[in-house]
Amino acid sequence: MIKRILSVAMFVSIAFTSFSQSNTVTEFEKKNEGSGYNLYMYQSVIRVLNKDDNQDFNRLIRDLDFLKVIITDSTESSAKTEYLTLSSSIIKEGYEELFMIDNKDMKASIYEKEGNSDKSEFVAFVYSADFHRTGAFQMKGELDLKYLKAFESLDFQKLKELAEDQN
Amino acid sequence: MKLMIKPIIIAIAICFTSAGIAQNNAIDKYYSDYADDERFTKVSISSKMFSLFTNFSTEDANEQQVIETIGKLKGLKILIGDGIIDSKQIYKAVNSTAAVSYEELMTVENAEQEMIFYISESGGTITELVMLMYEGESIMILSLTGDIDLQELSNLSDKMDIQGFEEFKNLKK
Repeated sequence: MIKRILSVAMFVSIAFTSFSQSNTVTEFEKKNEGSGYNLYMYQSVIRVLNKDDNQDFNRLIRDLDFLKVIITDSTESSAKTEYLTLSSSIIKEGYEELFMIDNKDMKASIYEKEGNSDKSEFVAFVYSADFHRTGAFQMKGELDLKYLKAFESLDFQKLKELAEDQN
Repeated sequence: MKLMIKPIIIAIAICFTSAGIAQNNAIDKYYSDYADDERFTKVSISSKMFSLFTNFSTEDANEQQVIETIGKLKGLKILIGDGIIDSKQIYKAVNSTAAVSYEELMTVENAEQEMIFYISESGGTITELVMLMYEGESIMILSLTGDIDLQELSNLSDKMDIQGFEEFKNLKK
């Protein structure tokens, strides 16, 4: 249940966000360059994942620039420390905590910072004890939530293949 | 829309977070006390997080009502402990603390568990709901803030199977 809560909360939060380049995330990205797992998807790529040629799916993502996922290598023993460092660092950048869940199996948090425009900036971090990994999620742009149901047309198999190609 | 909205609402409702929660509410002390205790799960949701849900709209009247109920919430904090040998002692301690600051709303007891609800009111409106639950080696402390309508929370319980809130049906309007 907790994992379901987390994933849904993450998605909801991210759905409204317009991420900028947080220094914390940028540094985390540099640190994990060449190891772990990194996934970048621009809108043009995300459109390819529309398995049903669902026009509402395209409407859902039309204002989305890109998605970014950075996950540490599972052989790293410092994943938990990494998560705590990221969480601490993002607060120092002036981000406000929106959501937090913390137990022995997983830790996750979502942060927001008011941007210069009327859009806010959000960053999310997750630590999983089961997988010995810490992840950061970033999205630039917005999802049009009127078409949220079209998310069902996302081709997860193709997404998996795409992720494997990039790593 | 229906398929996606429901899990989202469930997540928020069950997670019940904390952002606009006052620093001195019933749960804050225990949040600090057990911050590093891995036997406890801590959940916190802010008012901003709740407000995101007000952006959703649905043609389903029941779901729309749930969204509106959630949109009135300002914060949620939950502390859940499992495998807590002294859970009953902790429950009693929290209960004693809460009894000083809040008005007791309702107590539910049976052979297996004890549950007590406290509220804080301002201008005739419930602004905070505190729920304490103890069962064997498990304990839960929940603080929910915002513009709280117990009947709406009861309805929420019907739609999303939130343990405890169904008890509000038994309250007279």
